[in-house]
Amino acid sequence: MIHYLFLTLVPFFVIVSFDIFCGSRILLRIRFWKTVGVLGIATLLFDTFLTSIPIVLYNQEKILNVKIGAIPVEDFIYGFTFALALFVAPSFITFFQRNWSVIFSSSRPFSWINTAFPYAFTIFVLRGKISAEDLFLVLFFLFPYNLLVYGINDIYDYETDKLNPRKNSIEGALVEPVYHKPIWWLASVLSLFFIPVIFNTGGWVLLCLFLIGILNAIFYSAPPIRFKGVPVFDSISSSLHFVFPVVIGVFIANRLFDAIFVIIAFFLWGIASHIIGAIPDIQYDKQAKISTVATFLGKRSAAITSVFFYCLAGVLLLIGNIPSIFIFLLIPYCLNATSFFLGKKFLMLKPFRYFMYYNLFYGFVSTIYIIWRYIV
Amino acid sequence: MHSYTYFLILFISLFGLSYLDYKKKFVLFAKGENGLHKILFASSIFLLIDIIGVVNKIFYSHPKYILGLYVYPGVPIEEIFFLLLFSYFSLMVWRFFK
Repeated sequence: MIHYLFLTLVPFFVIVSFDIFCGSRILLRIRFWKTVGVLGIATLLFDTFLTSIPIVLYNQEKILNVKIGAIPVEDFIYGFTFALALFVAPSFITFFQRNWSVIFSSSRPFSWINTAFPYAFTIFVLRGKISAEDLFLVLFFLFPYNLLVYGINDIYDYETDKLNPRKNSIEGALVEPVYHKPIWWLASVLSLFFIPVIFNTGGWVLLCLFLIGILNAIFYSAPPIRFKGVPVFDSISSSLHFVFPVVIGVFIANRLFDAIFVIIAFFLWGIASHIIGAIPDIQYDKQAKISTVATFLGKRSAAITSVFFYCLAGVLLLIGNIPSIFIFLLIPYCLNATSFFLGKKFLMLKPFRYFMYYNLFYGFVSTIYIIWRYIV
Repeated sequence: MHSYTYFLILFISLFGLSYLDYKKKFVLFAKGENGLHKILFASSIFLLIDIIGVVNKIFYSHPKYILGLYVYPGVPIEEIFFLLLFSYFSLMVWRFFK
């Protein structure tokens, strides 16, 4: 249920913030304010005609009921934003033409499914159905959330990423400084847009969870906290990226206590996977004087720790009475992690790549299983 | 007031504006203004906003004073003309202060 104020304020903030941060600077021109003055008077006349005949009617419950004559004040925000949108239009279009492909790839389209799917899947499994409102949040976990995690990460890793050969692949792209502001702007605008939606769905508690998730995504790489530079915290924060959509899903389905074992298991899986992901970078990170959980533990103990956490995740699934297929599917993760201290020839593929594709496979098999179990 | 009065007002205003534009070469008749792009860009955003508003039952139009042609359930054809008029007028004023 959307309020008229919300309907006008969202575009207002999007376009005003665009004008301020993305260079069109229309708001600073006297010419604009003169135009706004004329438009204000014109709106007053025309809108009075519209609202007093009345050709246009408003739902009393959905407007502020602060009126100028017969006109709700929201109409003026609407008109102001409309005018600004017109004048900003050329820079807006150029902005997306110039920045879109970099912004898009910095969000790691390959990873979108890793956050959106667990969210939708959780709700579906716990509730047996998924509503249109829940699906709306899937949009958040597709592009905006991943832009928040990876895009901002690319911004603050720019200096070190310049030197890393593993970048510019599906594991990451090098993002030049001209794109930093656009990424920040789009990521914040999109996240802010979902805050009222979240509040409507789950109230204050869900909103707090949501903000924690967003802050964790930002401060994974952004100073002054920058979790990724602090051993152990880097694993925790990275794992929370993936646990976050599931927690939101579980909360929306209102089954927090039933799913607690799965959440913790998933969290441990995330930690183990983060450690595995950090191992190939050890040499490079040491040279660049970056400390991660892998440089902190060393290659061998990092791999052992990782295996340990995968096993612990399996044990938790066992306690939580989860179908055993999910536990068996954890075994390749352990084998993959083991391969790091047995030598790379253990599994024919490069371990890290193997790991990324296996995640998709895991998701695929789990889905098929759930469909087979609950739908067919 | 008839069902077509509002439509006529919009139509005549648009016609008057475009005549003025033709005389002064302000927006659509000016070279390099990209007036049509701006109008279409902003109007389509606000058409979307209007649709969201109508779907959420925030505002609606009095069935007595509109033609009764709808572009989307609840969004009368007059709304399109209104959006075009608003954006055309704004651009004219904007150009006037140049």
